[in-house]
Amino acid sequence: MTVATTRSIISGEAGAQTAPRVQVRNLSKIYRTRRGEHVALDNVSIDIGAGEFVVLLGPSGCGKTTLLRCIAGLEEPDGGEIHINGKLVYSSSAGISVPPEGRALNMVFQSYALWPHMSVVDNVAYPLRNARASTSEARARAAETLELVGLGAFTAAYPGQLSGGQQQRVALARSIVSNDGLVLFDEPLSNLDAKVRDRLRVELLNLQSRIGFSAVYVTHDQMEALALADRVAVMDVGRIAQIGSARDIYDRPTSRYVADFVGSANEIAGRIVSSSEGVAIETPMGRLSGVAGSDRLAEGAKAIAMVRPEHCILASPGSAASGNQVEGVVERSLYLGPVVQHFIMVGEQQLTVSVSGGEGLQPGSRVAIGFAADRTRIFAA
Amino acid sequence: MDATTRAAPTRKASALAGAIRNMTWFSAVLWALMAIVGLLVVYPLLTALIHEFDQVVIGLGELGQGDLAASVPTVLWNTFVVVVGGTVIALVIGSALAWANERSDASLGWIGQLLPLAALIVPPIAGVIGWAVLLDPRAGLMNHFIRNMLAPLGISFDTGPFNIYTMAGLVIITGLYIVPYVYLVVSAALQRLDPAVEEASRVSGANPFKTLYRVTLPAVRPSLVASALLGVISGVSLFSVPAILGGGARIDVLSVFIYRLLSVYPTRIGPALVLAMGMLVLVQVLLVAQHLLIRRGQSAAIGGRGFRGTRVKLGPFRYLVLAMAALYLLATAVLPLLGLLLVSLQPFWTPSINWATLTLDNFKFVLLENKTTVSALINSMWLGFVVASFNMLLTGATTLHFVRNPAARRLADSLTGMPATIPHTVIGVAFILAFSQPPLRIYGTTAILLLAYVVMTLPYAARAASAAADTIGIELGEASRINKASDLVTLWRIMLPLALPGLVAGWIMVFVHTVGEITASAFLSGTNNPVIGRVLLDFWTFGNFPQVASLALIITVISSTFVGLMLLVTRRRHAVTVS
Repeated sequence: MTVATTRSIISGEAGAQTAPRVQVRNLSKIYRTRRGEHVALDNVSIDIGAGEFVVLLGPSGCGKTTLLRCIAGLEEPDGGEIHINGKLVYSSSAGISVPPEGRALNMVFQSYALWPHMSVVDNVAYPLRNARASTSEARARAAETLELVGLGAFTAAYPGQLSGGQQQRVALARSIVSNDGLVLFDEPLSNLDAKVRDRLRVELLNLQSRIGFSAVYVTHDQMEALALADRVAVMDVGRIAQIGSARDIYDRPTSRYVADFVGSANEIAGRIVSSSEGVAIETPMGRLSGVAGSDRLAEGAKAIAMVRPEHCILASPGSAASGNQVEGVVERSLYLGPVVQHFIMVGEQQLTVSVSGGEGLQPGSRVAIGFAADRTRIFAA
Repeated sequence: MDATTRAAPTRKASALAGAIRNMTWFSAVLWALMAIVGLLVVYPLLTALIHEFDQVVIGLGELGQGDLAASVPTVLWNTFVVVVGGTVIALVIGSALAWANERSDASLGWIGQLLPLAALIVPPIAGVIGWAVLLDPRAGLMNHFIRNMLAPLGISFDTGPFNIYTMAGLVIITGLYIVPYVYLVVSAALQRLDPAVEEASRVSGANPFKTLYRVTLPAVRPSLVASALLGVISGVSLFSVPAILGGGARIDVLSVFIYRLLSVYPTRIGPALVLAMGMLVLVQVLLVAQHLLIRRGQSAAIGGRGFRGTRVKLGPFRYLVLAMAALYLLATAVLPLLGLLLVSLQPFWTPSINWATLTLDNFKFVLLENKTTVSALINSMWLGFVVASFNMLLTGATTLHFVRNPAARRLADSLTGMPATIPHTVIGVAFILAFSQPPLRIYGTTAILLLAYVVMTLPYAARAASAAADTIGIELGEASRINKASDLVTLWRIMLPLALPGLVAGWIMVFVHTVGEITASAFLSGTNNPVIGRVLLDFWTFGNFPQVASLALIITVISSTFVGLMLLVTRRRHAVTVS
């Protein structure tokens, strides 16, 4: 799997000099249901810099939406602290919980959440009206913002008359019109067609770099996360498993969970034989060398070697190669358009190899698979 | 900063303490009003039982011997036959029409829209009177018409061929008014059932009828049972049909029997109270049974809404289904109204219509000349207005205010839904006994009617308000708060405008129910506080048939006008629920 749309990495360092836009400290949230307690957030801490785009990525039920809603004030955590622009908006110990209308932020909802009884311009003017702007002034600024998202011609329309993509543009305009400096996104593109989604993604980034708001963006779509984020926070049940640039997350995952959730991975089980210079692992396929993905890699311990299908290359058997090489039998090849996916049995285990623009292979033919040591991550099992 | 900061509940704080801390004056007023309404349900029942306890003891004795011992078993048997027979008829017609509309190519179109509203458009009391004037064995217009048609063929009778004053008449007409309950419940269940399960059965080799029998019916079985129980409950408390037809047929059923125990001198409070309590217990048992059945699962709650499946092609049977639906509307609305119209335009009720003597005098009499009917109309109208406004304001404000507090909303829902579990006959008995003595001696005033109507229509109001609130996505309110709107601004600018069509529909439903109400009106209204329902019954008993017909037509016009408005307001956006 290739990440064709990966942006050049603008890390959060520029924002890190000034005070962070959002500071979340030791946040926890427990849902009590009839079947017992469910920990939605377990001591989560994260900083979001000014102008930074942070994506919360994870499967459903990992707590990403809960974290977003706690920042928004729509949900009350059970413990911890939240600062926005340096102002304490939630603290369990101090007994402070500022309602959403008192927090300097805005939000784009998955369902757009446009008010069907108000025209497009009135929807966008609503936050300004609540900030006591006059009707005409609010409408004028709303119209300007609608121009910005390419909906200048639709001010008098009602949300029901617009397409899904247009509705989400209105929601976007509403979230930036009052210029709070922080916009929360709750899976905003997941209800849209793939083409519309791609286009809106680019427009969202253009708007963000133009206006410079901080963004916290929840999604379960890893491609979207990698494409949008300055930093991605991959979440596991109630905690942040890894946070870093898209490249960090994809190329240098620090756990099996992250390696598995973002992109696809071949996993080969074995035992550590050497952990000094680089790591070597003895597997049924032979000895493989790689780099340590996580600490606690003692010699003799069970471990997993991970390599991504697109980091593997195919060669004819017996050819000399640097790095790791294993041999196997082709089971099946799938033509997927940009890439061809080969499923190859190496001993008892099936490995997947993605090759861009190659030909299918005859099932039953023998091939060698090569993958570089620095592309091979080794995790404690 | 301080204004926007409130204390966060600590982890240990109990929900109750939190609720009290978050109490505003607004929610305090709402809770107080709901407590008062709750008291209005409980207070009459308890007071009646406690004050008349010695009468209850006597009543139990009386039921065991003497004339009551002889008549009560017959009354109970009659009630059983009428209710069960009516429910079976309704179950067949209602579920067949629901299935045809949801699953076959015989889509009922506007008839399907109107069908559940039939009992609102034509109040049952008007429909029953209409059928009585059509199928009276001697003077029935339809009977007369049929006799005239058959006479040239050499077949002649003096009476009949049909007689509405029979057990069959009672059962069929009762069934007609239970059909909407069944239709609504079964339709809703079919809408929730993904047609894919039926398509899976078809591609597995089952024909449409096998699919219906093996897949569809088992999947909606809990709803069929629920609708049957609902039919029994509403049939037990149905007052208008036996009140109009039972007299001529000399068939007593429970609701009218209890009424007569209390209204015919010498009144017999004890037996009436005992029978009413028995009725209450029966309904409670049925409700518990319904609850258990539904909870046992296997219900058809699969997926969301908006399924589009292939429809079963009925071929020529399509016309049979359409004919059945048309016949139903004909029977509940068109024919009885035609009968009422013809009788109301004559000086006397005669089976042969003399087109030369048609007159509007009866309408003039009812609307302008007769003191009782005029004040009954005025009373019913303003009672309907006040009751509908109060109930919709209370339930609307409660539902929208507690939209973010599910626990509070559940409590409010169970409070406002409570009267739905009490047959109207029981409410009538309890009110008459409890409010004829201190501290609240209001029997014979319009106040007692007002209170009774508020209690009886509260569940309709609550259901309409809930439905209106549920159509508003939670995110619409959240988006408003995120956009710096306070709770009151959100309520006023977002929730209220969006809920308004549903609230207006609910208002109209409560108004129409109140104006056409017959049970509590029979028990609680009199010469000092006449309302339409009571006057209709009295005029019928005294034989003022043309006046009855014109009065029944007038309330039908009022009801259907308001229901038309309701359909206009909701523009089919919200599902309208009767009952």
